[in-house]
Amino acid sequence: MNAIPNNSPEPSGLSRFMDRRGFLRNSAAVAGGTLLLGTSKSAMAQAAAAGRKIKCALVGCGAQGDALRTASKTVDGIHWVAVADIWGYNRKPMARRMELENKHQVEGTVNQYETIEELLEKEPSIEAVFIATPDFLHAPFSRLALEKGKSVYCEKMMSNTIDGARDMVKAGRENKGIFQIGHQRHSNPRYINLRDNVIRKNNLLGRVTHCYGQWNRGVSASVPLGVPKNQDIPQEMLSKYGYADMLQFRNWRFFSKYGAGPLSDLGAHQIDMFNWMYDTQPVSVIATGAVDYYDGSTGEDGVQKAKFELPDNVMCLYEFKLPSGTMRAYYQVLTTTGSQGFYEKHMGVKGSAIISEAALYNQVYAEPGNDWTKFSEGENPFIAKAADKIKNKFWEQSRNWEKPKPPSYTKVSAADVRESKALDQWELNVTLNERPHAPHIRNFIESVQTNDANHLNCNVQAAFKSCVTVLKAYEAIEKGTKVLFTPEDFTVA
Amino acid sequence: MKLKSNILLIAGGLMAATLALSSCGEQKPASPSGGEAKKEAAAPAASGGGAAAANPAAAPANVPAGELVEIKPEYPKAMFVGTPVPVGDIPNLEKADPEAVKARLTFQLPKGTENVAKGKTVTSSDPLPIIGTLDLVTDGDADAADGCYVELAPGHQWVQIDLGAEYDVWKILLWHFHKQASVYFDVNVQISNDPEFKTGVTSVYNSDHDDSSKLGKGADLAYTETNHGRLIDGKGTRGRFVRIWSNGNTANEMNHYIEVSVYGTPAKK
Repeated sequence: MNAIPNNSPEPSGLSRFMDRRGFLRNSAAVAGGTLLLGTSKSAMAQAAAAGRKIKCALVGCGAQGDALRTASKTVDGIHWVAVADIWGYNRKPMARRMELENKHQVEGTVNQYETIEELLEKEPSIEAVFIATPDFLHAPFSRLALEKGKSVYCEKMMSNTIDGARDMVKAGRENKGIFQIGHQRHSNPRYINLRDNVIRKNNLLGRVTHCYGQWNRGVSASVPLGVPKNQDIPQEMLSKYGYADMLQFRNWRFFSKYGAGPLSDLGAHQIDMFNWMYDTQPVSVIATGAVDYYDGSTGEDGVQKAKFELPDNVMCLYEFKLPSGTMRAYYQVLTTTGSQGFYEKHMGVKGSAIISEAALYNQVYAEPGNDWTKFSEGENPFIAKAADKIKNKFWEQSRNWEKPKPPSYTKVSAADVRESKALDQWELNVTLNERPHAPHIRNFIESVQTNDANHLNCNVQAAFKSCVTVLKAYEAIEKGTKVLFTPEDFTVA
Repeated sequence: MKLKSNILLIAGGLMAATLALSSCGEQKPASPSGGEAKKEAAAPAASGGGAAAANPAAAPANVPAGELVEIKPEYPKAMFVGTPVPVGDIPNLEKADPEAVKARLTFQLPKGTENVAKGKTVTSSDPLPIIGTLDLVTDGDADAADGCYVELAPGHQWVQIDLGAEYDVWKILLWHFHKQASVYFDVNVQISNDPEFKTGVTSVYNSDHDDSSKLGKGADLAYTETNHGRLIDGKGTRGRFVRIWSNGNTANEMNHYIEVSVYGTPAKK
């Protein structure tokens, strides 16, 4: 069944992969040049030949699967050979695009299957399976692929249930395949720069007391997905695969049977950053949220809105105990406004940092009295003086310390001079010049090439902690009270 | 014309069908390397009217007013609103002109004219479209919603409509993908009686200003897609087959078609 010729070159030695790994892990492009972080093998590694090709399959050909496909174009070593999806409307274009658009990596046809079972049976030469299905299928499909001896790159959120995520950890332990979860910020050089250089090694932010994260997505961007003309899946087929109807099939994220709502869909990336940045997990969470908008009522435009099951807005507050003291982290996800987009902010007593996958959110601020000049000098500085008129400078707007006095000053009161002095503005001196998923996919492929699970940037155990962190917020919403985490919550027996 | 350089030309065989076009619509021998035929093709009047063409909705000059009927195409709803996003530095991009669009929403054509493409067979240089099926091109539905368009492979590709008989083609109304602002490169609309377009080819629209697609230089303007499509003056050109080329667009390297209407009358023997 596999029409792909077996033309993958044989591995030519571990040292070659190690060199390339070192380069890829440690290098990052910067404005005006290339910044090599840490212990890079630099240009010598860059000149090394690409690693052996890994025959890969994609299961789930929707928007996230397409994001993986496009990101994979800059990842050497990926060789797509097959896809699976129950919906031909998505499956067929995915296979054709892999054949046509990614021609530099793909030879021959990309075979199409309706189910992962059929794919695994008929494509025995596949080494790695990428899973980008609705969340409820992550656990069973990961186990299925791992037990067939494959390596697995599974999209986040690990699962829509903690039990599902727990089983994924077990499946990872019980099998030998490399198992990566798609929290791609773990491999983003700008995020790594913030964590390793700004926060950990040089402690520029000082004691971080608070974090804030948000993903606000306006109605126009979060409107329910419809069905393309004449592309309905027959109800019999939908039922066979566990879907109630096309509305739920297309908008599975909003129904607990399949997904875990915007908090999971969007927040999983960002709440995970609270854990990852400080190598910890929270001790408690309080949260509020509900289906306040997509409740089936008639909208302002006179059109009846979809009726969803999972909260379309959530606000939650985590408490962490860091060695330096308590850190509180607030997160919000809204589907009714795109105000200020999506980013995370880390606030310490010496400085603050704003970061996002969108490069325009790239600001680091020094509190008064902290001179960061020396960190912006030398061959490969990890911060740079902020350019004039950088986007979003309004966050910490510069001004003269001598504020204009209000008209009332001489009449009724003195001006309030306790307002903080404006912060000194810097930027992270690292950018990502490829699609956000690419470094994480590369990290996975390198790990498969070398069969080195320790090389993974987000293994299943780390992702499990994030999954628990996120999903426990729902428990807090339901109970209407603070929920405490225990060490057992984050472990799998 | 291409903004991107990494286009994959997957149909090498297509070059065998490369034609040079003449101002009178007569087919010239294929001349991939240029030559005499190409020089002729580069003439300003090579491609139907050119940049300075008269109103494409103009009634045929040689048809008495009493022999004309009013045509009112059905236009789909607009799928994007507001000012189109800049599509890049395109040297021959026309400026949007709402008044010109209004002026052609109805037009006069000879009695008996109808959309002779509707329901007719469509073939393509990409026989396995990425999205959709070729019959969507002539199904009479110009809506831009998902499920209404066909996506062809990257590179220089064509769709071809077999009208089933010879017609005098008066107007062609063409919709690429108009759900987002994009410009399709090297749009070339040809009419012929030869299904292989090797002989008797007339180009009635050609926006390939630099002949990057090697079908002859065209003087027509590139344009931003909208729900009003592109109205092209067929000038009564006689033929059975209509072939439309494009070479990717400003959003991606793919080629999309939502609908093509061909307004014609049966050819008088």
